[in-house]
Amino acid sequence: MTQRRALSDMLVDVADGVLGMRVPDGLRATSMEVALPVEIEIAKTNDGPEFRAELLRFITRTSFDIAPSRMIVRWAEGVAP
Amino acid sequence: MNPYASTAAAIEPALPLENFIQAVQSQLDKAQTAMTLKARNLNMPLTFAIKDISLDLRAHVEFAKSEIRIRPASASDVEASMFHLVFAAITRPMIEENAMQMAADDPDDRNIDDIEDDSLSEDERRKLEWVGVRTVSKLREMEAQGGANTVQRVTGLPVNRLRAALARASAPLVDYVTPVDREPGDTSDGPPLIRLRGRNLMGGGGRPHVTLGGEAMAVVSATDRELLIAPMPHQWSGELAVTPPTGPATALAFDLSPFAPKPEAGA
Repeated sequence: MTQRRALSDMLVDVADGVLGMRVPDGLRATSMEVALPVEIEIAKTNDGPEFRAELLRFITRTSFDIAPSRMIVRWAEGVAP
Repeated sequence: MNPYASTAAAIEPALPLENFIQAVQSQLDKAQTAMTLKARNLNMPLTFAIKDISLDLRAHVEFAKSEIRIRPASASDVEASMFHLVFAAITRPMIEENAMQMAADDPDDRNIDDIEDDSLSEDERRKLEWVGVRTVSKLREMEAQGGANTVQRVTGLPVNRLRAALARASAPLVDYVTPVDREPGDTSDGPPLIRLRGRNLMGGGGRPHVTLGGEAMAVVSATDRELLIAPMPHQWSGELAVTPPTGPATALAFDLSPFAPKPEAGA
């Protein structure tokens, strides 16, 4: 069974993955934009409805898989509070 | 148990659009907080913040009871709609500039959903919310400014139903009647008092007329939410009526005779 995580967990993982990449000395990423196919659902939790979004687990789609939605996220560098 | 396990029973049915947006917003806030905490804990001078997020969502959009509801498409939904949502980060001053003036609201004001009678259906209350009428005082203000006809034109809600709803919402109501406790050490020989709490007790006008079984009672002070009454020794129980200078009256039966002052010996 496909296990989907809350959108926030997925976003933090994606950001960590991209920002953790090694870049040549003297270069720094100041912003990034990723376009992702995602499977989404709304789940019931004790705190109310939770928006879950997850990257597709398989490249090949079957009739049993939810057709993917699309998400574009842009991050920008800022001073840490 | 895996908290992320997805089961068919855990999936929400169609959600009102505003709840859906709040669910997405809450996740973006969490992601933002997580990245800020990480930067702080690792002593990073810079952090990355989500600037905006754009979602092309395959979903079913329904319209029921004057409410837009949205449900993510399932695997069997071949002909789902595409719902395009864009969220952008805004600063605190922008939030404050655009938010409703919560602090300025009257804490005693009643939400339009609290009108528990049949003068307005749920559908009609929703239509009023569309035009920004969420509280009884807002409804009153709009009627006073002659906006009822405009509301009728925009929402299809007849003016007479609007006025009927306003009349019911503005009717006086006594919630409870209690004796006023004297402060410890208060030796003044003022009369014992009864406090009436409720709403619309002055009916938007002056001091109301209060009677008990048809006999007038002395009103010491009056506000729209509270009346202080100085009952005579025989006026501590019975049917009490509050009649504002304008509008309908309200009545209720009460019995505070155990709190009535004891007659003096020999009196």
